[in-house]
Amino acid sequence: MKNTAFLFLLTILAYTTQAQRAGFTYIKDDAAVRQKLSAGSKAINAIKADFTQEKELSMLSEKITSKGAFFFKKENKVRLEYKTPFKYLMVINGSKVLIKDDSKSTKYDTHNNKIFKQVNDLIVSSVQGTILNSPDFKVKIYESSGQYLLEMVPVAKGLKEFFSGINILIDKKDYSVSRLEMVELSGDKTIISFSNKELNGKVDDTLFSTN
Amino acid sequence: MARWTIPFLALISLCTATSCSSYRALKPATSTTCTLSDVHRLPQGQYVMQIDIFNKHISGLMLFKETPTGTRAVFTNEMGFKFFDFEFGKDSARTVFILPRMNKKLIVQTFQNDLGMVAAPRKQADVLQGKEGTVLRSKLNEKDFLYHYTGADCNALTRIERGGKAKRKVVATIERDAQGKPFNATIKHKLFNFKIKLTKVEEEAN
Repeated sequence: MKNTAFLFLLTILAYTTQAQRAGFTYIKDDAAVRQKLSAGSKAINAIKADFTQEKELSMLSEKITSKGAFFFKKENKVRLEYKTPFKYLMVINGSKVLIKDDSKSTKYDTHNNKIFKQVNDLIVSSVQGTILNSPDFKVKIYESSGQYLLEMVPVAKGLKEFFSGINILIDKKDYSVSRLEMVELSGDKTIISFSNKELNGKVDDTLFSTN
Repeated sequence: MARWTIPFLALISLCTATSCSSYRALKPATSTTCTLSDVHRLPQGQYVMQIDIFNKHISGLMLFKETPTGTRAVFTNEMGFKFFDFEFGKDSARTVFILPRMNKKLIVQTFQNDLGMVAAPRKQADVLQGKEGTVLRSKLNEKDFLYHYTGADCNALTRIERGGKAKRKVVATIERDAQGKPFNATIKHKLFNFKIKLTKVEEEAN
């Protein structure tokens, strides 16, 4: 009887531990943190960074890694330039999107494509740190000594078809995004980690040309 | 005009429109040392995949991976988002995952047929001989065959065709590396405007 109770208790503890984020504490009353994050992200006008993207294919235990350069400039300018192991470029400039692979350039206008607009808004607001205001997600905030973790569950119809969750890690020291994790319905994960970040340096407007 | 002229002209037009091939000219080979093996398909690894269909262009990454249960073909876009995941056995294909929006019979069949052509393992084939050299023919179903053209050297795959007994439907042109192994493929449909290009990605050494 005693052993059964003990095992039961252990199971409950294990479950409770798993429900938390390892190393992070859930912030139930997060109004003050939301204000801090909002103020912090407003102070970022430009970002230049390297990124590493790891795609984890859950069913194959396989990881696909790619690397490149990332640029952001207020208000809605993003450049994601993949350099290895393939060349691929995505530029967002307001509602205009340019995608360029080895053989072709394609331009989109997000006004004409709802899903594209949602993905576009997601990328820009994730980078800007303004995602907390998005009506497309339910957000829970966790914190560790050095970082905030935004755990986002999509509620918007289009995004719900593709993602089960998106997690954003924000550095407490400068409120910049250090990691973006996208979890698909299939269980696959794409993790984009940013390094060598330069905040508010010179970032040329020509980098965001969609012509 | 002779009474056979019109039917003959109609036959020529039909052949031109539907790419009649020289399959009927292929005869059983006298030597049967050539067998279908892994040198007659793309090896596992990452490939940049570019799809052109009518005026649309889509690109992404294709991962071919050998597993104990078959060859897996996983297509994601460059940002990592997965479109589909197929598994090929010897002359079989199944869908492990596909985006609901892409889950239409024609789309699934076309991608499975085309990717299977260049990456799936095959059961043993008939060995035939033609003007271009050795051709390995494996049966797909009651109507269609795969023809692996290897030229004089059985291991030097140059192209794979899918077609019936006379009609060519899809042609996959294969490029080989310095060691003679297939590493790139361009798959083109003859009956409609659809092309897939697979280019092997140089993987970084760890």
